[in-house]
Amino acid sequence: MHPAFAPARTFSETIGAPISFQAIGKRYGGVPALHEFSLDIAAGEFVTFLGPSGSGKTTALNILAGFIEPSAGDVLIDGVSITRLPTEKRNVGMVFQSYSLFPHMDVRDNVAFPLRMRGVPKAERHARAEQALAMVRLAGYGDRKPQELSGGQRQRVACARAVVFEPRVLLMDEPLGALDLKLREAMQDEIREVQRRIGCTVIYVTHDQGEALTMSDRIVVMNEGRIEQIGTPAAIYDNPSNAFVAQFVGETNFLTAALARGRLTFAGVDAPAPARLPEGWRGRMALRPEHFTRVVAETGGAPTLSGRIDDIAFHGGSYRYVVETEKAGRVIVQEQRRHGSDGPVVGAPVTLKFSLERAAFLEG
Amino acid sequence: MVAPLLVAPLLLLFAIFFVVPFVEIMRISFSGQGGALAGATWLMSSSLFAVIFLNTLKLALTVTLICLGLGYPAACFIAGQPASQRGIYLALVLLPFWTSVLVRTYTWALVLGREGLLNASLIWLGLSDEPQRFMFTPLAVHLGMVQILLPVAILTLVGVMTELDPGLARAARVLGASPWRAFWHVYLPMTKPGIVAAAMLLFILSLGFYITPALLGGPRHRTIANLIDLQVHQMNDWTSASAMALVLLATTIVAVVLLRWLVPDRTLHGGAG
Amino acid sequence: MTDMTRRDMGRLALGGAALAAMGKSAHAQAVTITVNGSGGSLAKSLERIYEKPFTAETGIGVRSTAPVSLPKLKAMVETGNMEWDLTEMGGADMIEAIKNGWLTEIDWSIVDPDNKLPPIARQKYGMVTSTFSTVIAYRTDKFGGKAPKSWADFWDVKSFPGPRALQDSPVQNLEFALLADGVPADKLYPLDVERAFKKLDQIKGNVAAWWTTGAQQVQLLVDGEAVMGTVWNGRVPPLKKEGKPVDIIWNGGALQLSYWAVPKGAKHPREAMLYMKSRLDPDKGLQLLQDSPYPGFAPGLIEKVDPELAKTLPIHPDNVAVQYRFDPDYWSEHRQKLTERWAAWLLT
Repeated sequence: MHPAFAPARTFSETIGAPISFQAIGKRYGGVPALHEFSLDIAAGEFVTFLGPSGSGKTTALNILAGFIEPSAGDVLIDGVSITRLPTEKRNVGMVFQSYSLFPHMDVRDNVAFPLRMRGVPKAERHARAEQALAMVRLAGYGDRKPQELSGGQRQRVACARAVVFEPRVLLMDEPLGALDLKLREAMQDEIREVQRRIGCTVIYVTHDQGEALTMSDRIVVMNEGRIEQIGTPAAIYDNPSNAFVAQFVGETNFLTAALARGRLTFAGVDAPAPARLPEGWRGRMALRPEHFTRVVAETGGAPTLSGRIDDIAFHGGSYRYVVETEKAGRVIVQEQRRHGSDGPVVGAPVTLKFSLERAAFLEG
Repeated sequence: MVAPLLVAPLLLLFAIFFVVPFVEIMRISFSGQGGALAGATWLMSSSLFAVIFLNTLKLALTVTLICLGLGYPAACFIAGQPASQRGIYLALVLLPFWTSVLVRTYTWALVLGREGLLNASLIWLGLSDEPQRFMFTPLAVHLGMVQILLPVAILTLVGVMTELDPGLARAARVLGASPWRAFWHVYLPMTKPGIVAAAMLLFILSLGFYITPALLGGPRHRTIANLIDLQVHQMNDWTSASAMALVLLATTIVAVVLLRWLVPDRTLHGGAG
Repeated sequence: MTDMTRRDMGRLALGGAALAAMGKSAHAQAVTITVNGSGGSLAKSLERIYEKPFTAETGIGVRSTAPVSLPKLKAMVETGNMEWDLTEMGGADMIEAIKNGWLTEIDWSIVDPDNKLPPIARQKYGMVTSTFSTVIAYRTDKFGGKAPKSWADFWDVKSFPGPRALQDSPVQNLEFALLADGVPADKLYPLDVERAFKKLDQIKGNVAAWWTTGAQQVQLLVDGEAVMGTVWNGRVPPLKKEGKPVDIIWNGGALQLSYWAVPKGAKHPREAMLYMKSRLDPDKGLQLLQDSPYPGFAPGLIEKVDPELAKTLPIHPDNVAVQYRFDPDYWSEHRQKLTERWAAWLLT
């Protein structure tokens, strides 16, 4: 049964709690793992901490969960400081990458565990566990042992267990990291669906930028213990605030550029400068692969780069290929397939057109 | 073709040092002077055997429980250390383990004696006016055996505990369990295979203890092994001694089967595979 | 090496060859007998006084092993793999071994060709090698100058307070209990077992340790684990010499004999009996007495002993008069049943 067709309102309308990280710092023997981490998350928001390993994203999550004590700063849930509260009193749900299901309990007892810890009588907690299992499409699996389930099923049990007690905050630590691609995509939808039904605030940790872009209301891009950028997926993608973000989120082609006397020069091209750039600016332009268009005829004023096509990958709805340009090195291009037109050919000379309006201009 | 060859030396050793003596003991116990059932008859009728057999079971059981009770927290502590430091603690546990049982037993005799360390300390501290009798008491036997077997308990338990996913205890905590309840509902049940394995080992080893009860307990706290010794060396009765050896073996087998039955394989190997 | 001439080299080579030849011939003749005894500190004295000279005289090597063990004898006879050529035996063991046919008859024409041994020492399957006594030993510093005099005193924990030590065996302990209860030494056998155990009940709570080996007997006294206990008489004189506050009483001691016997299936019985013969030399016997007050019946020995030393021997007439004569026959017959009863009694 797809969640959309599950009985409506199996859960009472819980409303997510706002979360506030206030200048959190964490050092390990003098080495900072998290630096002045400040972030406000709205009630019911789905926020993703995105970054490479060692970026501090998991540290921030573990500080919220209570596994790690911050060296400085304060964390508030619903306006109340929880920094001194023991883990079990924080009332947050959590899903782990390794599932962390209890192997000595059957699925029902696993899901009912948080209710048992909260003193819910047996009959009621079993009923609620059954509801939670139905929500993740595992009705009737209660008697199985976790070891008897597939990876995807285990993660769904872990989700059911994390939300069965209707927490106002749900933490997810790379929950799909151990699953294969197909399953991961299906689970992404399910997790969003579950969150919509419950309404809790979600903090989702991942190093997979695709996952972050797909699922989040907002993304917090992190690197080396610092926040690089906070924004909606579209804002992050379209306007990366620095080279790290541009490179980490999506694919990016960088072109060195300089502005002088109202003209922008780069890779042998001389174009009118966009209005938002100040005179004398020097830096790099970031262009996404889909920002380029392959042209055969004249371009009509838009800047162009020319070169030869190298290495083509067929992606079903699109092509992705590399152009060895004369002045700007290798450029990655993504091109939608259009019915009736010729596709790219390896070795063929090509001219690429693009609009400066879509480029991101990065300092330095 | 190769596999049978690889186990051949082991099988040969087993045949020479276990099967042959075992068959011999079977033979002796059923071919005594008083007929094939002389040994069995003696076992059934001897109140000496009955009392000592029960005492031995009781001793093995209490020693097992004390070792588990003392060893479990110690093992938890060691398993909770970072891997780099675990080695140091394990070495500390192994150090006495590598010391001969005889040496350790005699050392207890020095400590517990009438003019030993313990009595001297008690008198010095003013807790006692005159030397107390510790030697040849159940206390001495238990102390000696627990000290000898504790490393076995700790090593077995640490082995299982370090295999556990530490994330499970964290998961329990964040889902609402206090440290104590996380231990009780998650950690303890997950270490059950280790507890069972340790209990099995400890009980079986305790059943066969000879030197420690002999030296620290004396003849008033004999175990089955001491009684076998008495039968052979003082009473020259090999038939009864062999019969008792068989009973000891049977008890060991029953203990193993019973524990296996109490804790089936499913939980013994129920890791988060 | 540079100084060494060719002639030196030649000499060395010759010498080496000669040594090798000697070694070979000695080896070809050599028989080594294995003599099993009780070991301990005495083994060194025996090696010096008897074994080395014996080898020097006869070319027969002697290897000594320990301890004395009836079960080992039984096992070796039954498997046909006899390591010992000669072994020491206690009185009760001797009877058991004879009953089971584990011993070889002594050829007295080899051991005592001139028939000089008294009949008590010259038996069909064994020769008395030593005499010893199980006696009361006590700490002289624990009773305010008083000294216990009898088994009755051993039982009297009011006048002589403090923990006791006894052997973990009914053998002799039943006799001691009966002596303490007033049975005359010559009316002990057959033992009144009920009466003995009843008397033992009175002392059981005061027995701190039940010894099983000779080393333990004195260790318990020296360590203060017990203030009074039973010991083999020879264990105490060395301690007294060291200045330890211990002494023994002969009154009520159990006079026992121990034997040399040749096990059945011994590989070198003739050589073993030759060694037995060497043990009858009175001068060597006198030397051994310095280290071990357990004299045998070597002809002419007692005449040579210093009167002071003689007083410390079980065979001194004054001592013989107050000891009782231990009866191995009785124990051979009743040992098994009484040992079981003893073990059960200890548990209660």
